[in-house]
Amino acid sequence: MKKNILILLIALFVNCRAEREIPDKLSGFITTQLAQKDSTIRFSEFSDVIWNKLYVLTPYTNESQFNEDLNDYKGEILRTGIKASDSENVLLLYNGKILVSISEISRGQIDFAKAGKLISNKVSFYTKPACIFKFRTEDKNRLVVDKP
Amino acid sequence: MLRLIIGLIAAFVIFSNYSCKKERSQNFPSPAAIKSSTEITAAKNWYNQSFPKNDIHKNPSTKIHSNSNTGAFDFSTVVSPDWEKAVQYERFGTSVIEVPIADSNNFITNVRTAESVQRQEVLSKSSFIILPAVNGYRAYIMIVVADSAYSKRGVAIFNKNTYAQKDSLFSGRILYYTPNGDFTSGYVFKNGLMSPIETMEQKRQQQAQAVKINLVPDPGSQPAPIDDVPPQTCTDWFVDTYVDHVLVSSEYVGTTCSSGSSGPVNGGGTAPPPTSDDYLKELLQKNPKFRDAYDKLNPTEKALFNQYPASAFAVFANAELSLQDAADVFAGYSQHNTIADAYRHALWNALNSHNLGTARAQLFGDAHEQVPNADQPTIEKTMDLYNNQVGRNAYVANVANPYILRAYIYNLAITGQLRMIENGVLVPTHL
Repeated sequence: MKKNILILLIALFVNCRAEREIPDKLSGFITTQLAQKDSTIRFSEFSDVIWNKLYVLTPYTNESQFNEDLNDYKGEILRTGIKASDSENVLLLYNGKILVSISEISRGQIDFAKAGKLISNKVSFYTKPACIFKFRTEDKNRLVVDKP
Repeated sequence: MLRLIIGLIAAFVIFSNYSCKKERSQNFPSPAAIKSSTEITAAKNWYNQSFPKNDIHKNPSTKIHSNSNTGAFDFSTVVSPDWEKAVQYERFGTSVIEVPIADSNNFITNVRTAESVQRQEVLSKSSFIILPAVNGYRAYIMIVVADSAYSKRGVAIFNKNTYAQKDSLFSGRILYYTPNGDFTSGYVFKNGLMSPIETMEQKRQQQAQAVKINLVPDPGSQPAPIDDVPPQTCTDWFVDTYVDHVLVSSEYVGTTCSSGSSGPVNGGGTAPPPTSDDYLKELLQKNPKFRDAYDKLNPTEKALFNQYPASAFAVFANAELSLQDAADVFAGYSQHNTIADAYRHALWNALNSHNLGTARAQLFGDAHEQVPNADQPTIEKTMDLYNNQVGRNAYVANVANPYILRAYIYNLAITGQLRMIENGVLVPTHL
């Protein structure tokens, strides 16, 4: 009987999960990092939320490229418009399988389009310690991030 | 006791499921849930309240039936819907009620040029098109007039042309008015090819919106053919309305110009008549995906969407289709700056040209690239504009058989006739 209750509670949890709002915890941090003299964004030092994985979604990333982590939050991620957008990247912080931050970053502010990570055409993540990105100026003062 | 607890939890789950999904289900009304008869009855009640019946047939020639605001001939005073013959269907995700006019023999319209002042013996028919609106419905009168050559094909074939479906060989004119006689839009067809009739005001607006394409030549490769602006031949159109065989109105409705801006209808029907803020709001309200996409548009695109909501919806649907198709056809490829990206842009513009004509397809395609330079590198814009143009040209090359567009564009992609970016340089597409 307890098992039945547990199943029902899980059903309740899954049921309303689709309605969750995922906060943007990262945008402000990126802005402060752009002022760093060594042109480096150290996501690894970001500690406003508990996280261990960073996903960089580049323009036109679509659901066929989603792995299991991303599929769990497909609705939230697609609502950013990344699937049809030329002008922004989306950065996701995960704590295990839980999405804890979703940030839409204008490519005009800083462009992560070259920092995306694909393995067998599935979006892959950077682990927290590896999240140190160098950026440089390119094409009329655009800030462009390279892969770590 | 335990069973009671389980029962309560189950009830809560069902209730919360309903609550959580309520908004979504409102946005996606199941067609089966909408009963045609109920819908038609509601529309009828709305129409009768909005346009009270006025029996003018007694002496039409001696009365003035003009719209008090615009002076246009007020159709609602001479025609009413034949509700017994009303049909309800879905189009563009919207419920449509199409109703032929009652006593149609007494209401005849003739669309003519300035030169052809004589009434021609051609087939024509008129129907009410009733669409849902935020506070009830909106009604339009659709007037279909065949040209003399098409009229010879007979009434049975002519009558197959409806709001939802056009004969692929249809030649003639289709005009949309409000019941009060205000012209909203019109199209001229020649063997299924459609050109919008533009009023002078629409022409001015379109010119103001036009974004000049600026393709950077691609060194070392054959440049894609570019649509030159051909010399234009324009025709002014007038509509004569006869009630009980008496000419009661003769009105200039707009002008068509022969250019590259025509496209076949191929049974899909013309774009819906209304181009109003209300219509856009409705589309956004009924289509959450469209609403999400709209929210992300740049200001130039939003202005265009506001101006041409029906076209915008087709553009959005084509974008979805192209995204999906590029992901399927080039599975395993990134969708950014690659052959998949090039294919998607070309297909999107070809499909838009198919639905809207090349001129309007270019308006939407160019507008999509109107983002600040910082937000998208110049080379990416160049790539996108180039592939957009090749897509529109692909449509022009396949007007006779648009159904092979997809294969044609795929072939362009794999034979290096689209452009992609490699090592920061624009190069011919390759696998």
